Amino acid sequence: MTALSPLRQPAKRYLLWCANEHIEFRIPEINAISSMFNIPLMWIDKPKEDPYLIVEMRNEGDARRLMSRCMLVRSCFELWGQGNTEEELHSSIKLFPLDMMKPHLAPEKTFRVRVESFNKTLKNAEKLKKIESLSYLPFEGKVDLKHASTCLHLLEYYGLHPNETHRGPYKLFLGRWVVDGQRELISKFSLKSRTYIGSTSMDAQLSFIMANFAQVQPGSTIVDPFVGTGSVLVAAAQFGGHAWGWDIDYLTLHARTKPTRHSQKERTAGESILSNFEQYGLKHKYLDVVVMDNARPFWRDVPYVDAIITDPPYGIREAMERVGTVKGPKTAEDTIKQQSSSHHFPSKMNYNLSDVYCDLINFAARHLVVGGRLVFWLPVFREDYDENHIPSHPCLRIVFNCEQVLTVHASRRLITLVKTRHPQEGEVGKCQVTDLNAKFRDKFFQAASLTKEERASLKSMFPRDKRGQGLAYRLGESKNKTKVLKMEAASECSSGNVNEGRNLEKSTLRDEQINQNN
Amino acid sequence: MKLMTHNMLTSKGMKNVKEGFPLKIQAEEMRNVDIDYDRDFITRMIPKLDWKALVFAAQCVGHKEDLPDTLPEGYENDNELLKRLHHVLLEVEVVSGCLECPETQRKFPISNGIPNMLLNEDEV
Repeated sequence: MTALSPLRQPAKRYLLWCANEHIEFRIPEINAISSMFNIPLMWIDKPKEDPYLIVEMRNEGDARRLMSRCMLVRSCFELWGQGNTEEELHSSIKLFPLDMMKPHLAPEKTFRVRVESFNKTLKNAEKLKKIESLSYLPFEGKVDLKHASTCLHLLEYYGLHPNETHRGPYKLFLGRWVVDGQRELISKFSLKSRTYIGSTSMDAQLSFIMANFAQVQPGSTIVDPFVGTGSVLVAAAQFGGHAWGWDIDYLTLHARTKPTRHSQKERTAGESILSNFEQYGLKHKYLDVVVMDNARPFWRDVPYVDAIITDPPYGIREAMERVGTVKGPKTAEDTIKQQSSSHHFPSKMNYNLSDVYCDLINFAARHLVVGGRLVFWLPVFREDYDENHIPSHPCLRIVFNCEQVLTVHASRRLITLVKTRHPQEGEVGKCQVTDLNAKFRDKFFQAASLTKEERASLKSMFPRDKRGQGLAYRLGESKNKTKVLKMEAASECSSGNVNEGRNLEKSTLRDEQINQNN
Repeated sequence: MKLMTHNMLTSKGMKNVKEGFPLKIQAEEMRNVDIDYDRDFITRMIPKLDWKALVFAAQCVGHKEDLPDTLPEGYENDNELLKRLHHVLLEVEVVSGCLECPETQRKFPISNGIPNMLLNEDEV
């Protein structure tokens, strides 16, 4: 449709066929990418749940650039027609300018028509009939089923509910395939084949989405203050960022924790965060990792970071740690003994969850460049959720806030903040983050009082299977909420502590801490 | 640990430390790595670096001859200098050794190329 559009210039309509997951993240991801590349984009149709979107963009170049980073859009089509019925579809196609169709169906081009249905299976005979119904199109080239230069897709959408498909398609589209999104990165970077993982490693798809929210670009400097096994940074590096990471957990940074893969008995010498970068040819983007406590950071006070992308502890799976002691100061003798031990692990006290996020916010306000972004997960107890509890700072503005539901009671939100100006003397952030550990702990030891759902929630909060399949990994790779609840119920029988990829002593320590917290 | 990282680290997290910068590098084992030259990244990082501290660090590890004492004007166009900077900042690594606080002489160990900035309980 070359008619003048809200873009104030000839524009084209594109159908974005989306992945059927992480629905709340879909539109923000496209907004983040389009603003990063300065792609003017007009929303024509953005249904809340249906897996498609229709946008107007200036040209195919813009569409390709958008899709060059998109994780949640499967394919992009130049939209030739749409309708709620076959009749409407064909009427709509007949209105599409012939001079926009002809170049792609010219004699020297080859073409192919594919019929796809969403939420219903069509028989081949049915598909053939639908292809024949398009015979009025000005096809001049030859058919090539394997390597056609023009691929037309007839998409029939039967809605999301399996019980309604008898009513016929809910929507029909005809589009010319332009380009696919980046979903092939999901299997390429899957944690299943990652050299070094721990139970807190972020799944590939979400890591890339985080990097998109953060608008990572080649040449940018990215940091992760809770780097763990580096999974978030690997995605940022793939999109061109140079990465620093740090963590309080010495053993995780040195890859000396107990392996979390079921079949693996010991860590191999080749495992490290750097090895994860090397695995994908990204060692040129790896700067350094440092053992460091966020409560006492050691960075020179300059704004040097383009984006902070991180998954802080939620206060549930891992006890949060900072250096310090709850007991009195040690004697001089104790101190000397400790310092002389070359692998001294300072004893760690509980780090209040709100303090964890406050330290993160304050670090962001001081060390991001203006316009830089902080992207982080925030655990949420759904009943109590209040927008005002999101960590805030006078110099940081909320850009996105997307929920990923984990269980009936708990979810996590991917928050994106942008730095608008440098902080003045004394300006600090504030936050009020619900410690889900504290929320559940009172009930934890009164098993009789737990409802079935609460028990299921707890099981996901305290993953107990030996495979060490932690929260992020398990849920990231499952596409279905009900599946998650089933898995939690099934792990009823598993035993043993999961080493969370942090201090070896911690798994026993954690049980003690839960007792102490009471 | 790369020298670019060293340029950003201080010991200011310790109580009683005013500046804690730059940290002195005592290197036991060093290595050179091959990192692709990324001109955009280098030119973006230069304004954020503390040049004196960089020269100091280069001296500590024996790479001083590569760098001028002050950052010359028009460095963005000096490709030779940029390449040398790239080498010193990103390709020279301290595998083991320590970083020493200039005010308290407290040593922060580096092992496997990873600095450990954790303090003891009585230092916080």
